[in-house]
Order: sequence, then structure tokens, then C-alpha cells
Amino acid sequence: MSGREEGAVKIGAEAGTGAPPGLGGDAAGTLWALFRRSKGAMAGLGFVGFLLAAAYFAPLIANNEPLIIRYEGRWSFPAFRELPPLNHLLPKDAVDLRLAADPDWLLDLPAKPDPRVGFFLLPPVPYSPYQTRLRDVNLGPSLSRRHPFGCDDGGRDVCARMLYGARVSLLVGFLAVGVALVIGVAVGALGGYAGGWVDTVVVSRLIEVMMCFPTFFLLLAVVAVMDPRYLNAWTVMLVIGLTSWPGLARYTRAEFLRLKDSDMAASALAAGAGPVRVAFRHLLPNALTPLLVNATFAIAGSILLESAVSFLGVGVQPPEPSWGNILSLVTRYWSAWWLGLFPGAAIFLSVLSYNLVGEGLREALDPHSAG
Amino acid sequence: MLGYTARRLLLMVPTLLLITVVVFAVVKLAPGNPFSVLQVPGEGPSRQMNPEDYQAMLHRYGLDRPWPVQYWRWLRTLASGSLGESFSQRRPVSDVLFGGAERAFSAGLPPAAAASSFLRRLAESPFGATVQLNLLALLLMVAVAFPVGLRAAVRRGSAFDRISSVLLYGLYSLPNFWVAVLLIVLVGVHWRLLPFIGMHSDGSGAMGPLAQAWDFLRHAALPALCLAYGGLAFVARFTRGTILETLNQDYVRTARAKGLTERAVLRRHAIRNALIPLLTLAGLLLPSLVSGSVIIEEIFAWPGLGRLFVQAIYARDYPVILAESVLGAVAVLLSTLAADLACAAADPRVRLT
Repeated sequence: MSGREEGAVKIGAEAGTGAPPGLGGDAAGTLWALFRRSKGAMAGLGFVGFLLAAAYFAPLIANNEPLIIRYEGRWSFPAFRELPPLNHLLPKDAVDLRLAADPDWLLDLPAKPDPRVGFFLLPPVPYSPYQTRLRDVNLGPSLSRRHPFGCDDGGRDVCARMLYGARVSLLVGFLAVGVALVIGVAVGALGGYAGGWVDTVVVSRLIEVMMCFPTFFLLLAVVAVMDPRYLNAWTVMLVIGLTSWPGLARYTRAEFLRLKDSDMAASALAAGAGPVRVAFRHLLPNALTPLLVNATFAIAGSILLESAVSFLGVGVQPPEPSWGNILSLVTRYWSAWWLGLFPGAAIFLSVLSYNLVGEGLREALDPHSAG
Repeated sequence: MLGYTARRLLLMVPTLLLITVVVFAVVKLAPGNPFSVLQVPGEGPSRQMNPEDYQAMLHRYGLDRPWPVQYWRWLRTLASGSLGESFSQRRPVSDVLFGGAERAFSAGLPPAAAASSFLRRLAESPFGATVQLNLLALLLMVAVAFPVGLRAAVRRGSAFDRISSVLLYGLYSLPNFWVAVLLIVLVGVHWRLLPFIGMHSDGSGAMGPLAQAWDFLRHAALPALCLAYGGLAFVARFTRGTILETLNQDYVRTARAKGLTERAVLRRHAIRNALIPLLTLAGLLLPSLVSGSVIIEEIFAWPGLGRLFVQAIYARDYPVILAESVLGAVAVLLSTLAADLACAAADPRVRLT
């Protein structure tokens, strides 16, 4: 018994040191070389990178405050105020300029020249995602008005809202799958490695039952009873994570079941490793790479789930922007096609990208399965 | 076979019980209850429920009891064959879901008339609406995907194989609610080709049976298409895989060796044997069809179970939400069982495990 405890303690101590056996430097290099061969997967990865950049730099791309402005003889960078870590690196008074009037007037220059303003540079989309403008209500895409994707029923710029919506999408995609992975791996490892009655009576039954519920149904049942005040990107992410783990658990269980009787596990046990150590230090790294494929597909699934519940109005609540809740507006104004086209395209492209990356990973891990 | 079926049915009992536990836990663990929305602190008195009324409502629906008591009560209701009473419609949930179709048999009609009345009532209920839509979608799916998969398998590695697989894969990633929205904007609003709201036109009751069927098909076309295309890739790939597998079998080689044409080999040997695993597909497709139904029915105002579920969510109609979640899971469980039994019937080796 003491040997087991020791093994358990050591895991924590060693977790940060060295690469796990399955994903060693060489293996990762080979994987990358194989992954690069697939054009679709690289395109998908490229789009995910683009989304990450767009989500991070959203305040610089869409903002109703200027990127650079010379105001009363001083240079300021108000758009950087919401961009960590730059907002901490720049001097405080350089980002803290708050224009007294509605920043809209900058757009109307030079109709209303203000002697205090010298040079200024506005972001490409000079609107913030929350700002409502009466004169732009349900305005179609217009480059001259600088609304490339049009406006919604509150006169908010759709492009700005979509950029901030990308943050929700990425948050839900990565964190929800992170939550699902933690639960799924824990449950699956328990069932696969412990075996016996723990597996047949508890874990397998639980997974079987959870697999009976279409995730979307379960998710809807949870948000249905939740107070709308608690519905935001974080809670939706959490609920998706808590309801979408059974697939990953089933997969982990199967992998552990397969690896449990391998020579590798036997030799680790013979060398005196405890079962917890064998499970997480030896079996898990070997199950991890194929698990990565499933996790990538799960990201696509989570993004789809979030946009679907937000589309139904029981996910991320307006005014907080999410691709799904922007898209849902089109069902109120069927002639406003831009409300349907652009956010939907964003959902489609990101789901497709994650699926392509997953497919590329699968082929890279198992070149024989291709075709 | 009988023993295998009995064993599987017996194994379902704990699973069913666990399903009710999960549904109950999910609903209980989420913060809030049907009446807590009416207790918004920041709102004016007109939108507030008086605290005594709130307690009275909780008591009326037994929500003030400890959760094991609530669970036990709900389980007893379920065991008695009832699904409870809908909060918002104030009638039994089974009436809401199935249109009270079972009462056709207790109305004292002759058996044939009772059966036809039962079927008519069922077809008009939300359950019937969902079944009709999903059957149409399933038909559409198989009608397109089976030939594609077959051709891709026969001409493995050809341009057709590769292009169809890429195209169907792209379709699979298309969110169905987006496609629904685009189709409505384009086909429904811009071109005015097809209706996109509900299941029948107003006054369709006065039409002849053929006109009525045509009217139904026109209404069902867009939603069925939206439900079907997502599964195309899955069905086509499955078909391709099974056909390829049968084409590698000894009996196919024998058939070729005895001089049958490639066409006859395909028709008499490969396709027939590939049909058995294809039977299991319906079971695998059901969960995604059920999920798809919810959002598609809501968009097209299709009066089915999915739309009812969404309406129940907006109205916080707990008994309907609970009943539909349990029924959905049970349907998936039963379809998996049906698929397994079909497999066992076809392949005796399965029964041993």
C-alpha cells in the first residue's frame, strides 16, 4: 500500500519534467512532418491561427476609439486600453484618453472639425460591438459606411460583434473540451484500468447511459432550468464541458483496456510502480496522442453546440456577442440576409477547420488508415 | 436468440433507472427552479412574485420537499405509466406529446375505426409530426448516400471517390441551422418557391387527399433537406466501407471466378450482404436526428416534439422537459438494442458476448 502512495505522490513531482514517452521530441517532430503533408489540415490550422489572432486583436480591428490620436498636443493610443499586455506596458496616460463626446464624431470629420484633434487613425471597423446607433438599424453591408458585414437591429456593427464573438467561440471550443477531457479521461481511466465490478457496474453503465442522451438534448435540459441571469460564455462553456465527456470517456476506457495488458504496463509494474503511476505516467501518455484526435473533433462539436444553443436564445445572452445569437436575429428579419450569411459562415469555417485538423492528425498518427 | 433477447432486455432495466437518475440530477443540479425566474431582485413589483405565492407554488408542485422524495414521487408517476402534467398546458404530458391517441381505443369504437382514429390522432400529434419529418429525411439520406457510397466503393480511388468524399465531408461540417436560414432567405423569401412555416397551409383540411399530400411535401421539403444532408457523409462512408469489405470476401471471389458479370456480383452478392450492417445505421443515426430535429423544427415552426421541447424550455415546463429527455434517451437505447438484435439475428457469433 505504501508503494502505491509513493507512486501517486511522485506523479505530481515529476509532472513538469521531461516529455512523456508518447509525445517525445522525436515523435512530435515526425507527427508534424506527416501532418504538414495534408493541405486541408494545414489550411484548417491556418484558419484557427487566424481566428486566434482576430480574437486577440479584436480591440484594434473593431473599436470606436482611435488607434492613434493627437489630442491637445499629446499622442494617445486609446484602442490599446483593452489589449493586454500592451495596456500595461504603455504609459497609463497614453491609453487613458477618454474623449468627452460620443466618439462617433470622429467619423464625421471633417464635417465637424475639432481644433483639439490633430492627426488620428481609426481602426478599420470604427465601431465597438456594444455601441448602438439609431441611424444604422438593420443597415445592409456598406463599405462606405464602414459596415462591411452590415448592422443588426440595434444598429450594432456585425463585423465588430463577430470579432468579439470569436472570443466566445474559442473559449467554448478549447475550455469546454478541456473540462470534458479531464472528466472523460478520469472516468475512462478508472473503468479501463480498474476493470472488474468498478468497470462493469459503475463506469460502463454510466458511459452507456450518458451516450443515450444526445449531447444537445442534455445541454438544452440544463440551460432550460438555469436562470437566464447566469447564462454567459463561461457558464455555457462549463455546461458543454460537463455534458460532452462521455464520448471521450468511452474512448479512453477502450485505450486503457487495450494498454493495460501490454508488456510496457507489466514491466512498469514489475519495476515496482504503483497502479496510479502506471495508469497516468505510462498508459495515459500512450493513449494521449490518439485522444488528441478525438479532442480536436470535440472542439468542432462544442463550437457547434454553443452556437446552436445561443441561436435558440438559451445560450450566450445579448448584448454579449456570440456567432449563434447574431445569426438568430435573421429569424426575426428574414430580409436582412447579412445577419444570416456572415455569422453562419464563421461557424461553418471554424467547425470545418477543426474537423480538417482532426482528420489530418488522424492520418498523421495512422498513415495506413488514409483513404 | 430468445435467451440473448431476454438477457439484453433484463440488462436494460438498470440502464433505464440510471437514465431517470441522470435526467433528474441534471435538472436538480442546475441553479434555479421553474418559479425562480419570477423572483428577479432588480425588477419592479409587477414582475415579482410575492414570496408567499412563491412558497405556495413550490409546495403545490412538491418542489419544497427534499430531492430524494421528489425523485421517488417522479419515479412512481413514471412507473404508473403517466408522464405527469404539463405546467403550461395544464393537461397530461402524454396528451401533449401524443395527442391523446390512446383514448381512441377507450371510446367504444369498433376495432378498425378505433385503429384508424388512433393513427390519425397520432399523426397529428407532435410525436407524429416528428416521425413523419424524420422518416422523410432518412429516406432522402439513404436515397442519395447509398448510390454514392456504392459507386465510390466500386471505383475506389477514382476521381468520383475522392471528390464525393470531400464534398460530403464539407456538407457534414455545415451547421444545419445555418443552411436552414440560408434556404429560407433564398428559396422561401427571395424566390418564394416553397413555404417555410408549419406543416400544412391554412385550410388544407378542405383539400383532396392528393393535394393535401402535395401540400405536406412542399412544407416538409426544406426541413427534411436540412435534417438529411448532414448524415450523407456518414451513410455514404458507411456504405462504401461495408461494400468494400464484402467485395474482399471469398464468396465474391468465387462468384467472379465462376464467370458472373461484375454487375451480377455486385447485385446478388455484395449489396445483399452489405445490407445487414446498413440496418444498424438507423440506430446510429437516431441521436443526431433527434438533436437536429430540435433546432430545425424550431426554425421551420414544424409542430413536432423538437419544437415542443424548445417551447417547454422557454416556458420552463419541467414535466415536459423531463418527459422528453427520458423518452429521447429511451428511444436511443431501444434503437441501439434493435440494431444489436438485428446483428445477432444475422450473425450467431454476436450472441455469445
